[in-house]
Amino acid sequence: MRLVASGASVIGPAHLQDNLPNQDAFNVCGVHGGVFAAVADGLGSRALSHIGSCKAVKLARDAVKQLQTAAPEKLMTCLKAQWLVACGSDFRDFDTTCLWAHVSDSGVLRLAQVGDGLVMVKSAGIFRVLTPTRDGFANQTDTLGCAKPERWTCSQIQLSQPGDGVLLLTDGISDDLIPEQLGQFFDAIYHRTSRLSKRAMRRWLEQELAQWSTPLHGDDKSLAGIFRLD
Amino acid sequence: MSELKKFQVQAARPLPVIVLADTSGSMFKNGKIEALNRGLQDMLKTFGGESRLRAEIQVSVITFGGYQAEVSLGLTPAHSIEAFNPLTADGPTPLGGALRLASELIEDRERISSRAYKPVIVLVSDGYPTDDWRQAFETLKNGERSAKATRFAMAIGADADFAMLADFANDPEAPLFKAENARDIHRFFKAVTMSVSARSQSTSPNQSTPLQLPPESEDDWDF
Repeated sequence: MRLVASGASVIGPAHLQDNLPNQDAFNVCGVHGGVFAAVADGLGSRALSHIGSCKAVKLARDAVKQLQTAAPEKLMTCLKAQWLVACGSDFRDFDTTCLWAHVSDSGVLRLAQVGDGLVMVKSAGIFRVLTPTRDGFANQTDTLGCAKPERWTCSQIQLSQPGDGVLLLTDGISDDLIPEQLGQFFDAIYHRTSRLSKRAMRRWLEQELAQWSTPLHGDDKSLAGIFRLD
Repeated sequence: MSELKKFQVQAARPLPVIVLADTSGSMFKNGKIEALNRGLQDMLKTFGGESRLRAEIQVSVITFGGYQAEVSLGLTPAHSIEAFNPLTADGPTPLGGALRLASELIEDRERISSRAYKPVIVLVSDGYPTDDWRQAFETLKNGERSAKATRFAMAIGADADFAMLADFANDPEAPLFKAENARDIHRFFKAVTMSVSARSQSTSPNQSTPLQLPPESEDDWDF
């Protein structure tokens, strides 16, 4: 079974305008014969959230490496504890969301989400959104450091067909996508990822995200996906 | 040519501003309704003219005067409001009806989507409510979505229901503002305008910005 993955992150116009760093982070890498992917969105109102989001995606990868077959809930518990230790007593300054996924070499997908953004999955050829409907408004989010386990979205799913996979988006992208077209968006990313090299795919994604067309958009934008090829 | 453009929403994220305006008979006295109209019109003009935006400011005006509250201006992008008919003052003060209309608007995901920034509600009143407003207020304060809104309040004159209005205002940076004259009404709307404008230009449009009242002028506008 072959897996392909892609990811990219671009700074939003609002942060460029105010000379602020990209507060999103992403990570895509091979882990134990499978593939890991994560995105995180540091809170705009927190001074060090750009560091918090980087720590989140790296610590999520480390947790998956350490706990090879653990359930997503256990991985989240480990990730949260490690992130709180890494950020120290001022962890609120580092507040961030975190969405991660790992697909094993046998096609077992484990994933989790805390905070806003979107997780989309295709399994056995059936597309679905795993993120619960938001009960509030844009940019009001749970965070890795503060959310209780009942606010996490965790899942373990078998990827059984070519084209199955998982796509993780920060809200800079997900809030501006037409809800009825999420499935087609997923397929568009899959088809590109299956045709391009990892480096070319990242370059294409960065170009696409940099020319985002929603009027007055300002957020940083990050995306990472893993797909089954055969 | 972007391949992903066709999946992207072609409308800016809204920042809803809902004004609950007292248009009861007592507002007719001492130039209060004229001051309210002027404050509202200046606010709409400023919102409509904002250029460095990160959100589309949308405004609704709900009036409560007479025997029932009504939507005088449905939620509309500020830049597309061409004219706003001046409000007139008459009859009792059905605040409860206005609070119910505001709750219905905020809880309606069709009219205010989840990609909108959290709404701002501005309540302006010079008297005591004359209908059953308490249940409607509880619903607004505790609604799944309406509880998240920022609420500003202004009491006009000495006969306003200060306790209710103080309870309404939920932003620690912006406690109840007491207007002693028509000039104060204008100052309050200027402060609301600046706060909303600052939010709409911010990298974090959900973060409240304090109400900073412009300095008092020397004109005498006492009620």
